[in-house]
Amino acid sequence: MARMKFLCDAERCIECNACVTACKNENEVPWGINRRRVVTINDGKPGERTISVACMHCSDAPCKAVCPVDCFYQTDEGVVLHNKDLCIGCGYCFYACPFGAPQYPQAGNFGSRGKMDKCTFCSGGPEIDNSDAEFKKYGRNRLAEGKLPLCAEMCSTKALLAGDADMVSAIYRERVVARGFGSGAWGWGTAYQTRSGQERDRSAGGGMFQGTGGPGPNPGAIPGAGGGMPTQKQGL
Amino acid sequence: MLIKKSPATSGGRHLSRTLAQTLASATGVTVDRRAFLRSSGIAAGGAALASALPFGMVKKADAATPAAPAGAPVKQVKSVCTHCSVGCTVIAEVQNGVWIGQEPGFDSPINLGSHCAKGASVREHAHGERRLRYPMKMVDGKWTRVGWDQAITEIGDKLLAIREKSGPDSVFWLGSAKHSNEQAYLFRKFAALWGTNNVDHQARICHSTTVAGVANVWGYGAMTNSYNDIQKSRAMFFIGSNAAEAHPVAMLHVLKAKEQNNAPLIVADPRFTRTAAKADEYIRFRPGTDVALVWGILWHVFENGWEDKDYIAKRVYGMDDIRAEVAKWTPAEVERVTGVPGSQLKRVARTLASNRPGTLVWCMGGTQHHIGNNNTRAYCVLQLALGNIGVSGGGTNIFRGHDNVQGATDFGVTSDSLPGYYGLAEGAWKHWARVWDVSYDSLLKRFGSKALMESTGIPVSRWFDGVLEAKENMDQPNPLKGMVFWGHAPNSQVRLPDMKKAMEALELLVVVDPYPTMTAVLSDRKNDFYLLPAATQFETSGSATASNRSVQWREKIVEPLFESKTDHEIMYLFAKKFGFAEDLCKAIKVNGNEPLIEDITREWNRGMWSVGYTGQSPERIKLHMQHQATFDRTTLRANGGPCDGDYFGLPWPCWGTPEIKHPGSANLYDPSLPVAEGGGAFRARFGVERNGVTLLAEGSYPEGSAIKDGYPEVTMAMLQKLGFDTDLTAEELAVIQKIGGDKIGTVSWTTDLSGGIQRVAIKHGLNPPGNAKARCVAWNFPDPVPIHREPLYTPRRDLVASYPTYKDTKSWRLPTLYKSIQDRDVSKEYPIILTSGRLVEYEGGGDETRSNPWLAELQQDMFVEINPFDANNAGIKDGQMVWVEGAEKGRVKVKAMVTERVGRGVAFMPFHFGGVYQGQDLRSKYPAGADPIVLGEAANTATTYGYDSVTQMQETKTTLCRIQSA
Amino acid sequence: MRVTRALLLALGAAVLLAGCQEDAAPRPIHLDKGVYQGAADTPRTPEELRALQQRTAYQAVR
Repeated sequence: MARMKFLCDAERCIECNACVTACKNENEVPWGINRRRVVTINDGKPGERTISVACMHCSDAPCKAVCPVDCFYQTDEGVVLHNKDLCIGCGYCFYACPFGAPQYPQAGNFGSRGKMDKCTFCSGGPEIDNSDAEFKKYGRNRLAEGKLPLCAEMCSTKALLAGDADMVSAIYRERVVARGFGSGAWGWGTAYQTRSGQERDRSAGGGMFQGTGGPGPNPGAIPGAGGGMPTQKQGL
Repeated sequence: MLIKKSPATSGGRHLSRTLAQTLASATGVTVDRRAFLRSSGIAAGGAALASALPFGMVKKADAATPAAPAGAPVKQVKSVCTHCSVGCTVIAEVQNGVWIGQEPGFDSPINLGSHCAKGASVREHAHGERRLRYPMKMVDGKWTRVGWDQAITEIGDKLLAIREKSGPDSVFWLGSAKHSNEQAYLFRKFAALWGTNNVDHQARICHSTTVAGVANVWGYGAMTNSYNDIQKSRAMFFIGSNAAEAHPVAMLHVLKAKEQNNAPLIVADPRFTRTAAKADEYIRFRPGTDVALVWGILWHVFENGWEDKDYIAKRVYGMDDIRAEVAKWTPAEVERVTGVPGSQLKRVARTLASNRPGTLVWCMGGTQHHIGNNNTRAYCVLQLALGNIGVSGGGTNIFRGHDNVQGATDFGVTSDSLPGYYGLAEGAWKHWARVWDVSYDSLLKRFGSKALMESTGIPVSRWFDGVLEAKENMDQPNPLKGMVFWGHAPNSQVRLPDMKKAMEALELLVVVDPYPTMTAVLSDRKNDFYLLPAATQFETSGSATASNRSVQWREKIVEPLFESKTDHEIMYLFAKKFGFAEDLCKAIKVNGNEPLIEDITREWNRGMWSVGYTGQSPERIKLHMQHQATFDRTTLRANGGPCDGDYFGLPWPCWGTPEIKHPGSANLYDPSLPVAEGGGAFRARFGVERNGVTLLAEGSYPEGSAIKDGYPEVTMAMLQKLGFDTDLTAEELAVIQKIGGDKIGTVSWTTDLSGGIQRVAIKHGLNPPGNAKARCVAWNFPDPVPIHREPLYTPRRDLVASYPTYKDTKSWRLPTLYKSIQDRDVSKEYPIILTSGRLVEYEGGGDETRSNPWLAELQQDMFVEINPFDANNAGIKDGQMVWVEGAEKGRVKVKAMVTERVGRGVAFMPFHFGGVYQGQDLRSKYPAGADPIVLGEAANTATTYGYDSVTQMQETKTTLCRIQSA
Repeated sequence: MRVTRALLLALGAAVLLAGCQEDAAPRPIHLDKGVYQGAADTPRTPEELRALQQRTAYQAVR
């Protein structure tokens, strides 16, 4: 069974925000809600790196664990979805999520949170696939059309990858080999390492992925990102 | 440190707190531009409302609801992104005439499905929330809705009255790089029939110094290779280009070269841009010292004998003159002028020399200077010295700005040429008169005089001087009285306070645009002011030329929204009003009032011989779009399928008639291929010899050439001499005889309307424009050898004596100041260098992109970047409001962003904002509902005088300012 | 009297209790914590999964 994952290649991400607007476009996400965002470290300095972040659809999703009404479910492809009919907007998932994915529109009275909203890996919700009701609550269901999340499919530099985990990591591995160095598949340790600690992600290919970090709230770092410029490669 | 966010973005705050801080723990403190700027929250006009709506209830045009009503078929329509010049394919999903979805165009060999933030959000056009909906007329200071008939009649009458009273040259027709090729061509023809050369467009202020500079080195002023070809580069040198923001999808190819070839990426820029963040070597240098920097690199090349001597001997003229100039640029002097240490430039020179072929990329950081033409030629010379031109993986890959600025330039929406760079001389007019099937005399009669017909008009960069200048100082009968902005943002031009005055002095001001633009609100006009709603390129069809010269076809996605009309229909309506509609569309079918786009394409196919825009018939371009998947993603060449052997989009030159099926030229001047397969040579444009030295190539020629040496451009006389004229068909010969009359030998590859001369030349392996050397010395320019001159507003007064600017002069019908500006020392009052540039989310003047909520949300505040050193000296804190005052006293009130992205003594502002003027919010002056979501001070309110000595390019990249707390 | 009072009490209690049902969602009562009991989603078909694999390959730049 195909396991769906996101992978953001920090060596390629140029902070162009195509992923952000593609998501808005495809899911008609309202102003103020960002299912995906681009985060920069060392802005304006040597070592500047960016990554695109959204719900990573974790293996042992902390949001799912803390939800008091159990509105989360995980599909056979590993996509973490939630049922807005069950959600009470309590915000627990927001505090549990290491990626800051859950969002809340200001819908309720007295400033209360509305139903939580987050990235669905472009696969809608429990409603009938691509029904009007599903679109209104969750956005487009691309997986049901045999398409992958638009953020990744439109990424300007193919930094953001989405899809079958084995293939995604194969694509990334090929790049790492070509470059001769790896900066780590950002967030994979946090997202995809199971609580038992064994599956550090077989498909990610061991040594090439450094710094995948342990379980828990630490989202992992980007090794190499803070070390200034990559070394000069060529010379006479 | 983060600034407080609104509750609606609380997720962001959380994210920034946990994520960014965790990241920062390993790497140091961090605040990125977006976190910084989004901080001011949701207050931007009207959008606040949307934030309060529950998910899925965002307000949008009813028509654009994407949920599919059952049963209606969804049609996929292919178009091309209308933002930058990369030319990304857009796939629109349309249902019941409504644009409901956007899909990645994976088949496009150019973008492989990718988009940037702008391309990924073009579907917002279907909502058109902030579009100009109806023709509007200002009546006593109030926008009033009028009908199209009334608007055309009133504007037409007023223009005719100006023409009657002051002559045709008193109206300025400001065209657009947003037009399709067909519209651009028709616009230039329209201006010709009106009888003026006062027609121009944004190319003047983006790459005119490239077009003129580069064309005067080797023939054509365009990107020599392609975005895709960068994949073959072994080194990449970016100077004055921030591709990661201005041409993001280009980085797809750049990063591939980095990965696969281990090609070092060198970025030279005063700002540590996001492109620099991906570089192996970053060179920070003082704005406006490009020539010194390039000569500084070349000094090491010559010093170590790293130049390609064989290449220079065969293909380059005048390198010794360069050598003499470069000898002055010792590492010490280069460091004194540019601030870059010699050791770094030696490393760069070595990297470039040892990794060939390498490509050189530049953009507006290089072009927008008063010595822009010197900069562009210096870049070319560096590549010539390294032997990098005319080879795959090399080239000067000049990234153009707008989606069709290359096309609009090629089609002559410029005040110095007719379509195809034919110029304005009598021969050029006669050529186009033949193509248009109108008599030369009837064209002549439309102009004020033959002299005015053949003299360059006022450039767009100076149009407001054309209004304000005293009549006696001008080389035309009267100042400008009527101004038609046909797809142009005024805030992309320097000296906005002067422009405001000019707008108020005009007798008539007209805007034709999908958006009101800042023109609608900048001036305090009360009457004689109209806004006409134009359709976007997604609401019509036509071709557009990407930066790499590939011509792509856009299909119409949706019908024009609201009451907007396509640009070519509006041109036709005005032509009817002026009485020259018949001449405008003699060979073009007109449906209702809309000229048939394909017929316009076929007409320019019959006239654009000089550029090789003749083989790209609508049928061939459409076939390429249909079979995109068959083209190789590196070479752009089709491998099998119906386009087998063609290069994608038939990049010009695509010689001869469509019937001879020339494949287009992926890389210019490449002798490793036969001309028939896209090979070429430097154009013999400047004669055959100079002071007894040959200008023709020596021992270098395209594969399969009948002449194994250099030769001049191909004429009938040359074919006769070689005995090749017998290969002409009777029909071709008849056309040539008709054009040449008793001087048949003078008919050339550019004037032969049969295409026979080109066909026969190519049959014998000859390059129609000849086979010459590239020249390093442009003896017709003010600085034949490119030299450094200090900016007009320089903080380095100590260098002015050694590197002074030009004397004041008169050019392009207007007085042009240099020395008198530079002589005024304002460096004490205005100590900080001010430069400007782009943001990825916005484009140009930003009216369109700032009206798109998906983009506007990402950049809500205008800002200025200041180095912490300067900020601390001035007592300015990050995030506070400051006044940035330019050296000519234009002031903008903006947010301070304290960052090391800019060096000490340099400040940067993005130029996409508008709608706020010197602290005053102009939102209420927009027609109701057509105000962009985000407004901000226009950077160019604070920018100053300065124009290139050859092309009148504006100086936006180097001026002086002072920054104080507001 | 007593009956009326009892009726009023019962009515009052009903009104108060009705306030407890904040929304009309068919929320399951969780006896099995950690188990999603909402509406079931449609699983992806093998054809869809094959198509998705194909699309993943598009993201490699070759």
